[in-house]
Amino acid sequence: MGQVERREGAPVPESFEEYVSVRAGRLLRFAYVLCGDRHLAEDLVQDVLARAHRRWSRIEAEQPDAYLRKAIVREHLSWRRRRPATERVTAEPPEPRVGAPDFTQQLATRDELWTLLARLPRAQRAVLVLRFYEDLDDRRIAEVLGCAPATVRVHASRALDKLRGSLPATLTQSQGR
Amino acid sequence: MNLDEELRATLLARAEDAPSGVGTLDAVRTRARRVETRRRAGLAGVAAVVGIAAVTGGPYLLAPFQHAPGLSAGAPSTGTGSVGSPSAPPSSPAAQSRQSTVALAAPAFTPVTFPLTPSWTPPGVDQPTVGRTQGLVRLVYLGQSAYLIAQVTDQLGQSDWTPANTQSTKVGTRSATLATGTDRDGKPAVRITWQLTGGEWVDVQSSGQISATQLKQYADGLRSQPMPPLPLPFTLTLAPQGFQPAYQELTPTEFHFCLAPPDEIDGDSATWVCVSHNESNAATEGQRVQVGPDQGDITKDGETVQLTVHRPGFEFLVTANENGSLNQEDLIRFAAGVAKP
Repeated sequence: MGQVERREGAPVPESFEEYVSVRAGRLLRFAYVLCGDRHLAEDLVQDVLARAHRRWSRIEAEQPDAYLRKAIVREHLSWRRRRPATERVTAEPPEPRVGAPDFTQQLATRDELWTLLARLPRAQRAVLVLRFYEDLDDRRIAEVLGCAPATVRVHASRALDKLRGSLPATLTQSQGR
Repeated sequence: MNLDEELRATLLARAEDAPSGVGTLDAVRTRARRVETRRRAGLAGVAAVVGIAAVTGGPYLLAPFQHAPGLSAGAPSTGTGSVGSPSAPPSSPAAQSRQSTVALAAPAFTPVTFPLTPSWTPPGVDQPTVGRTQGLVRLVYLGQSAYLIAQVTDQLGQSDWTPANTQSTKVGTRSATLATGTDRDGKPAVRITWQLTGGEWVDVQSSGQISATQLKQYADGLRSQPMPPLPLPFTLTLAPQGFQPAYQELTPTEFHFCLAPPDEIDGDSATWVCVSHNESNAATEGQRVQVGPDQGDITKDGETVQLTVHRPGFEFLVTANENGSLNQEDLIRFAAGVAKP
């Protein structure tokens, strides 16, 4: 019922309620990898959707997925959500994972990477999430962040540099896409 | 598996740990009702203030960033923005304007300058612009199918592409490293790095149709003297007194420029005042205000206040923190002084 095709991506539900019902999970996954905190992710998504509600007819007529993705990133990077002192420097403790022994090292590496992501400044982490989770190019990342593509490259370069400096050399020798 | 792939896999795997979204719709409905209630309360407060002004005929100012049609930047301000309504009761929060923490004055900031002077530009790129981000000043050349970025930095980081070939070379008399490969856009990439006498690194990178020989020629042509300041694509008649450029990105079609107190140009952006222009500036609607002869719209996103100025042929944004250096009246005065050269 009530779905319209968009230029990009999957059909977008027509009403606000439909949209939230269908897309909330995707928005929460994005918000979670962006901020690394489940409660904060819920807060971010609910805040952004609540503010979008009043303007939904206008947002819905464009590309709500892109609009809300940008709103979530901007909200996360906004001054209101800055901690008074400094950035969070620790992630949630890595959770015990169940997996085959062959994957133990891989899981350990990903846990380490997740922890290192939490230590990056928010803008740098946002660039990596938009690049590697959302698969956006630098021009579109710049649009989301409201900066120039050159700044995106600076953020990406610095973030990857920090990760490379903290990870085993075997992970950092290969081609960077 | 390389770092890029590992990052992608990590993020995809971790995304599965996100909250399920059950109950989100109910929570959003509740928040949306709260947002609407606050919005209506704000409008009611403004109506009260406008009513007072209409009755007394006297000047009035609104509490910061409340909705008010026709708030004008034309009236003179003290610069510290503390013009209260003489008619309103002192205890009326709607009639009190938060003071700006800095006065507006004729601009006297030091332009961002690149510490080296180029003597040659490779074909295929336009004249350079100077950018500044997080303390890094760089020279950026953009072209249809290539770009070149030169920067001087205390710490040399890795590029975001992995060199396929690295070799030693000389830039002038200095030992340098020349790396070539393919960047993440799949274009040929070249990078030359070397150290200056003072220990700082020069990092010159190109992408696209600029050969290693051309980049080397560019590097050889960099002279050890500051480049004369390049003109900005806009002018200001007012700027926060003492503020200096904290952030600058210029391209042929857009710009982003922020001023900040000298001790915070690499720090907390809550005090920054920014002006920017890009093709999507026009898509805004908010509290309608008058910015000199132009219409403007004020919108809020969290604590970020954004003033879109609808000047024919030159739409631009002025952005600041709601509780930052300038109150709304001074933010509008600042915006009214932005112009095309």
